Parts: sequence; structure tokens; C-alpha cells
Amino acid sequence: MTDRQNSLQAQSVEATAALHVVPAAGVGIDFRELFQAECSYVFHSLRRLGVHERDLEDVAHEVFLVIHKKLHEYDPSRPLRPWIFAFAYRFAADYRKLARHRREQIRDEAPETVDAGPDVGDRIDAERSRKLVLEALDALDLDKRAVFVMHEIDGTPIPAVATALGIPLNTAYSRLRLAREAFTAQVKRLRLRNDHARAVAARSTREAP
Amino acid sequence: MTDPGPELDPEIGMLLDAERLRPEVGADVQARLLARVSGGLAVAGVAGGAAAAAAKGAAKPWLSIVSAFAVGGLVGALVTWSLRPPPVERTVTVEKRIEVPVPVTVVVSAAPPAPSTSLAAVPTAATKPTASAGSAADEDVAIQQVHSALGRGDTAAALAAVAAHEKRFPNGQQADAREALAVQALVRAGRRDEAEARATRFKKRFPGSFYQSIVDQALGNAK
Repeated sequence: MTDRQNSLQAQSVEATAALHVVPAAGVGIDFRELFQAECSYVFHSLRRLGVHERDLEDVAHEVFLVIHKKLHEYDPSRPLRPWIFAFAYRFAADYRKLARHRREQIRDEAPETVDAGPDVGDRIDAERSRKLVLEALDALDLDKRAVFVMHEIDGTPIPAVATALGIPLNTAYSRLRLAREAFTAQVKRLRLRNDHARAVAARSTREAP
Repeated sequence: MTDPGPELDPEIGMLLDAERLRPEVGADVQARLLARVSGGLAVAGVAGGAAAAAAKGAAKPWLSIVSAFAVGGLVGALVTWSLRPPPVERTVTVEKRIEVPVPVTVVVSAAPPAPSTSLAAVPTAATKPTASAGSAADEDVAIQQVHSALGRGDTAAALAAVAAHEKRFPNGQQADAREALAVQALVRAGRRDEAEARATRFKKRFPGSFYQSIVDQALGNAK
């Protein structure tokens, strides 16, 4: 029994002890540490790929189970996040097929809230920007969306994007170009829509008795 | 054609800056998900044994089958319970149970230039005809039933749950976990020959599986 094992035992935490067996998976990466380091990345990636907020945990659960299962295949000399993203992309694709019939219901849900605080104005602006980004991403099909998210948000070089997604380099560049055009156009459309909505709301307020 | 076209407008880039700074997932959500993932991965004998026997101060707690399954049951129960709606209720209890003080040491580069493993070479659940988003969740529940039965010491129920899983998900994502649990259940039921036969099949079917060590421990062959 190693010191590390004794330490984990002393915590008497069932789930922690369960994960303790995982590092035996073979490539020198502790799955629990990977989970802690990349949990937010997986959530954010799934969200950017169109998985709804309320389903994130369930889909992320599946992603991490498969990551664990495939961890022994991961080459540590290569960047981890594109490898992880590929799993998120696969599960997001499945999710979108399953969720297609309920898309309208999903879109009608209430917006996320921002807690009040000293920097509440900035946080509201940031949240608005994030909502706009997600909404604009919805205008892209998943293939272009994945390339756009990996490159423009994650900063992954296009050759690495192409390798991770298993697509030719030229295809990756082409998807990026189309995605940039579509994303930019959609942001402009959404801003016009939002400006119009605000103008209507302001007029209604002025005309109210 | 390797021309990605013009760069994004800087003003659009500022929007993406906000998205890049999306807040971290809450600790409660991470803890709850960690519990679910660990429940999906844990094999009661080792996971539970470590925690329970430590509390008793046993010399080799992970060899104590009774304590292993007892606390292993808690893992199953915890995860099964955590799957129940509403999520707010799950958050409270799991948050108390999952405290992971070990610091994160993995440092991951977001965008190094080296190419990554090709997705085409990484078979995922999505490529399996039997696995879908829904069936994966169902499979998770089915595995938890095996965990729970083992935790109760009910080997007959555990083996029944194993058979049910095998019938429904013969090649499921957690087929190796199921087989490891089956070996444990057979050992516990005193059906040693069957356990060894199943362990042999396990080794052939899942070479390199991390559950191999669990199977070996169940049979007392741990190195």
C-alpha cells in the first residue's frame, strides 16, 4: 500500500477511491487530474457545439467515460485538448440528432442569469456577448462549427484541427472560411434584431400610460 | 486550397474573447459529475474496499471483500441517487461527499502546433451501432444495478443484473466493467471455477483493460 493509497483511504470518499484505480490505465495520465483540469473545457466545448445547458452534464458524463476508456490510446506527445474535442464533437453530433425534434423547445427557455455584484455591468455585457456568440454559432452546421470553435476560440492550428477531426487540410481551411463568413453575417443579423427589439421595448415604455 | 479567407473582424474577435473567458464550471457540478463518472468506472471491490477498510484501520483493506462490497454499494447507491431529479437536490448531498483535495497537476496546452490523434483512429461510442446518447445513460444505470447488488452482498441479484446487462448491451461501452463485476460476483458466490473461466475470457476479450487488475484482485492474483 503506497502513501498515496493511504492518503486516499483516509479521505473515506468513495468516488475518489473509485477513481484511484484509474491511473493504472496506462499512459501516465491520472484520469482524475485530467477530469479536474478539463471538466470546464469539455462543458464549454459541448456548449459551443450546440448541446443545451440542461443536457451538458449528461453528455459530458458520456464524454468522460469514453475518454477514460480510450485514454490508453492517447499519445502524450500530442496536444490533449484537440483529442478531447474530437470526443465532444462526436457526442455533440449524436446529441443534435437526438435533440433535433425538441430544438424549438430548447430555444424558448429562459436566459441565463447574472448575479449582482460590483462588476455586474461588465459581467452582464460579457454574458450578452457569450449569448450572442452561441446564438451565432447556431447558424453554422456542426462540421463548420467544430472547425470554427477549435480554431477561433480554442486557438488550435488548422493542421491540428484537421488531424483531430479526421478531415483533409484543405477541407478544414475551406470550412473555416465558410464558417467565418457565416458567423460574421449571423452576428450582424442578430445585432440588428436585438437593436430592433430594444427600440420596440423603449417605445412601448414611453407610450405606456 | 489552403486559404481560410480574411481574418475575423476585430470587433467580432472581441465577442469571442468573452466566450473564451466563459466562467469555469461550478465546483458543485464538477463534484456531481465526478461522482457519476467514478460510479460508472468504479468496481466495487477495490473502490469501496479502500474507503471502508481504511476507516477500520485494516492492514490490507482492499482485500477485504466484505468491506469492499459494503462501501462499494454506497458508491452505487450514491450514483444511483445522484441520477434522480431534481438536480438541485443532487448537488447538495454529493457536494458533501466529494471532496478531492489533491491539487491538479496536469498542465495542458490549448493549442500546440503538433497534430493530434486522428478521430478516425479513435473509435468512440458514437461509432458503435449499439451505443447512443440514450442507451449510454441506460447502460450506466444497468451497471449501477450490479454495483448496488454487490454492495448489498446479494450475489444472485448481482449476477442477474450482469445477465440483464449482457443481454441488453452485449458489446456496450461498459462491457469490460460488467465482466469484471461478474468475476467478482462469482468469486463471492463461491463459484470459483466459473469465475476463473470468465476471467480467462475477460483477458482474451479485453486485452490491456484497466479492469484487468480488478479481475486479478478478485481472484487473489494481484501482483
